[in-house]
Formats: sequence, structure tokens, C-alpha cells
Amino acid sequence: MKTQTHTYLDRRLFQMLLVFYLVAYIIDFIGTILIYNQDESSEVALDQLAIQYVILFVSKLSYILVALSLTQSFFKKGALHIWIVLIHLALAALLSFFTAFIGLLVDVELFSRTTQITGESIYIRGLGGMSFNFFMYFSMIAIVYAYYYFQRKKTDDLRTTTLKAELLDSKIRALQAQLNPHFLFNSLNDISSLIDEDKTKAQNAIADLSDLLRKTLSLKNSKLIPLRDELQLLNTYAKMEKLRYDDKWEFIKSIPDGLEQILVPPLLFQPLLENIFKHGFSEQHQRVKTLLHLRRTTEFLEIDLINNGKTLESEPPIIGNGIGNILERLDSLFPGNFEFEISNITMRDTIFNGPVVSINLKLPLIKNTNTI
Amino acid sequence: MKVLVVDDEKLARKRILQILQHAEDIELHEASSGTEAVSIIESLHPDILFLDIKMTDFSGFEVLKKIEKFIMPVTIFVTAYDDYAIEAFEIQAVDYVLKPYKKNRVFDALARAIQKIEIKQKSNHYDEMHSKLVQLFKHLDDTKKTEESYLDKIVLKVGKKYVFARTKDIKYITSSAYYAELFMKDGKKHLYRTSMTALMERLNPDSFLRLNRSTIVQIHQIKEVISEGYGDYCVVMKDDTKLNVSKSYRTSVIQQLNLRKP
Repeated sequence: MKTQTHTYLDRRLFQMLLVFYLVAYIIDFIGTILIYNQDESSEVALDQLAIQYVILFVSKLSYILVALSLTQSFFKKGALHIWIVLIHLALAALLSFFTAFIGLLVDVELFSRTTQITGESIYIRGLGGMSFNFFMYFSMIAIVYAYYYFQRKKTDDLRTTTLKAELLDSKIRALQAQLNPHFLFNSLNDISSLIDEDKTKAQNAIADLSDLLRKTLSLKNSKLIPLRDELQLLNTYAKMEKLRYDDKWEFIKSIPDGLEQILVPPLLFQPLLENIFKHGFSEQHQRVKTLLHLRRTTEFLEIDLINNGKTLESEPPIIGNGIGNILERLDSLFPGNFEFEISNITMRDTIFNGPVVSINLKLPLIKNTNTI
Repeated sequence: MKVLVVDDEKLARKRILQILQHAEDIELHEASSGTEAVSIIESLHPDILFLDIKMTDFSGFEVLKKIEKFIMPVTIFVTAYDDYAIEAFEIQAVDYVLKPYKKNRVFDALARAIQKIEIKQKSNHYDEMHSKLVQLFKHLDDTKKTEESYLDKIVLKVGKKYVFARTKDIKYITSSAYYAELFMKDGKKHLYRTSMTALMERLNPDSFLRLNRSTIVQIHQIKEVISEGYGDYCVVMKDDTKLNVSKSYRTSVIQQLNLRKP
């Protein structure tokens, strides 16, 4: 709540409102003086007029600022637009009568005029000042809304730009990983070997490698892609790694049906798998088994990537650039609304029996609405 | 002549074996990992080794390091990428072959190896190879970390929120208990649960310098180094923080900052 009012009465906005209000008021005051000089029958002294203006300036400004602060907290909760308009109209009308009341109060208490403060006198005086007060109130409201609109647009634009940059960055990184000389030349060498052994397999491997490069190259700059596409990309990549590591690497997938249309950020899985090839093997870990398990809950898509390779040396581990980039991208996409955990655990089930490195990722469930 | 083919990728092994089976007077063996290679070399005493450099358990160089001098085979390195090529020549390998390769290239390498065994005295080869290996390992330790393994950001989790602290925006890092405190250029301070040694390993040594057990500084953020006499130094950062250089890190600090003795 404190931070909300803080952002609401932003210093720059406050200054802008103050300057606008002051200028409008001074213009009004000058106008009044010009009329005063013309009208010789006036009973009011000039100094009294000035005092009245200052008092009204302060009280009106306070009223508007309080009104803005109060209404803002309602609207933050997402009230209907019609209510917002009605409440502002009521507050603008009330401002006029409030000003009338203060004006009468000043007349009676300070200048000892004989006027009486009654409902009728407030009503009549309020109606007289209605147009100026309405104009003043709505101008200030307009400034507030415009200010926040542009500010939000600015942060939105910035977010979009950052996301685009991050996506491009991960695309380049994925391509770099695929064009990584060890991955590329070893894959080509394996294909070369396959030609002797099984011509069809060799041809298929060439198609797979081409597919992988093509799919990565042709990834559009969309922030999210259907899980089906992301899994296809992963499968092609996994096939190439499987060709290289053969029986040293076993990849098990447990993916229930019906998740295909859930949207996920592209190139999410590949860096996670690369990590296993980078860090998972060791003298004691000649064979590595990896399980990718997906499931949906009411709010999240849960991704578990478990492997029985070399365990983490420190917990929490120092997160490297590959996973760091994923986290940064997720943080821009779903700020505060995703979970990531990497840890050493012990598993005893039909797949694993012993220490494993477990990555658990929870992403908000976003469905592809285009296809519905 | 006994030839051992070492590669952790099955298809890569098969490819060489397929080519070599046409060569005459050769007895072929294979090993699928560094560990297996060492034990086969020790029991079989092969004459020629086709050795993959980058394997999942350990490197081809490490295989050679574990081999006794008197059974060192004549070695041909096989690699997908020639970032190790110079090292391979420095340790007097007969040849190195880049993947993927043509049949004739493998035969050439084999012929060169056989020639070396026939002409040169084997013992000379062992001696040369072994002393070069020692040099190589010194060199490899220094250059082991490649650019990409240095962190370009440190990922911190604060409650449910993530903070990405760019390493280039770090002024200096001090440690307190189990935490490293990152002092950033924008005046922010982050707590990061790690040891200074583990962190230093992941920071680019061209940009970061360790001053003492509990301080790492960004070199570009140093304003001046003050000699306090008796070989004591202290470093003043651009934000005027003063940090002491401890005795055990003095030499590396002087070297890294190119300081001369006054």
C-alpha cells in the first residue's frame, strides 16, 4: 500500500500538477483583477481578494490531491470504467460546492461579511464556480492519466525490447551451440561413419542435423511457442546427441497428452540438456540417464529434468551463463511468477536409484488461444 | 603391430576401425573411454595409439599422463576441433587428424607412425613425449578455463525475485561468513551465498583480481595502488574504498597490475 501511494504521487507528476494548477490559477486571478479594476461598484478590497485566492488555492489543491489519492487505490483494484467516470464526475461537482463553502467561510470568519452559510448560499455560489472547477478537476485528472499511460507504455516498450534482445540472444546461443565445433564436426564424423554401416540411417542423420539448424534459424521472434514445437526442436537435438553418445546416454521422456498447445518460451530445453553434456559426465559417471517429465497443475506447467550424472559441487550452485540466460528471459516474461530450482537429491524408483541432479521448473500455464 | 583406437563415441571409433581393417600387419583394438584406454594400454602395450582428445570422462592428454614412460605408444591425435592442435605437436605426437576425415588421411597418419617406430629409436620418443607432457599440463592448467565458462552475470535469488548482477558492473566483492557481498557500480549491494574461491574460478582473471582471502576487485575500478612500505600495498578504488593486499596475494597482484618496485 505504501509503495502504491508512493508511485502514485510520483515527484515529477506532483511537480507537473502543481505548475499546471498554479499557472491556471494565476491566469484566473489576473482575469479577476482586470474585471475588478473595471468594476468600480465592487465592495471587496483587493487585498481581501488576494487572501481569498490563496486560501482557495491551497484548499482546492489539497482537495484534488486527496481525491486523486483516494480514487487511485479503488481503481488499482480494477473497477469498471463507468464507475471511474461517475466517481470523478461526483468529485468534480463536490469540489465546486467545497470551494463555495470555503469561500463563504472566509467571507464570514475573516472579512466579517454578513453573508450566511446555508445550504442555499453554498448551492448558488457552487453553481457559479462549477465550470471553472470542472475544467480544473478534469484537466488534472487528464494529466494524471496521461502521465501514467505514457509511463506504462515506456516500461512496456522497454520490456518488449529487452525480451526481443534476450530471445535473439538465446537464438544466437543455441546456434552457437549447434555450430560448436565439437558438436558439429563430431556429428558429421558420426554420419561419415554411418555411411559404411547403414546408408538410410546416415541419410536420416543428415536430415536431422539440417532440421535442427533450420528450425533454430527460422524461429520467429515470438516470445512464446506451442510446447509441441519446442518439443520437436528438443527431439531433433536429442537425436543428434544420441547419435554421438549412443548407449552412454539414455533419454527418457514422460509427457502426458494434451499439453501440446501450452505456450512456452522457445529454446528452453536445449540449454538445459547441453548442461548435462557439459557437466554430467565424469570418470565415475560414464553413463548418464536423463528423464524429462512434464505435467500440468491448475496454474503451472511443471518441468522436471533429472539426471544421474555428476552431482553439483556446491548448493546452491553458481549458475552459469546458459541457465542464467534462461532465468533472465523467464524473469522478463513472467516476473515473480515462475519457479526454478536445481539441487542434488536421492531418488529410489524404477528409473533412478541413487543421487541425481534435479531441475524443477514451474511456468505459468498459458494456453494457445489461436487454435481454440 | 598393435593399434589401439580410443574414442568415446562409438561411431567415431567404428569409422577409424573400418578404415584400418584394410591395412596390413595390424592388430586392432578399441577403447570407449579414457579410463578404459589407460587399462588397455597398461595390459596390451600397443605400439600405436589413435587418441581422441575430448572425451566425456577425461581428455586424451590426461590418458597419456597416466601412462608409464616405457610403454608410451606412438600417438596420433584425433579431434573434431583444432584448438588443441598446437599442443598436440608440442608433445611430439606423430600426427593429428581432424574429424571428419578421408580414408587416405588416416592411412598417411598410420604410415608416419610406423615409419617413426622403424626409423627412430623408440626410447627417444618416450623421453621427448614425457617431458613435453609435463610442460603441456602446466600450460593446460593455466588455459583450462575457456572464455565461455566465465560468468557474464551472477544470478541471485532474493525471496521469489531474481536479480541478475552483471559481472562488468561489479566494483568489488568482499566475503562475510558464507556470503559474498557484491558491491555494484550503481551503489547497490547484493549478498551471494558462495565461497570466494569458487566465485573467483568463474570470474575472468583479466578483469578480476583477488587482493586477500576475503576481497576480489574489478581491475578497471581501481583508482590507485599505494605502497605503504615494507612491501605492503593497499588498493584504493574509484569510490575511495581502501582495500589491503595480503602477503599471500601480493605477488600475483604486482604481476597482474604490472607494478614495479619503487
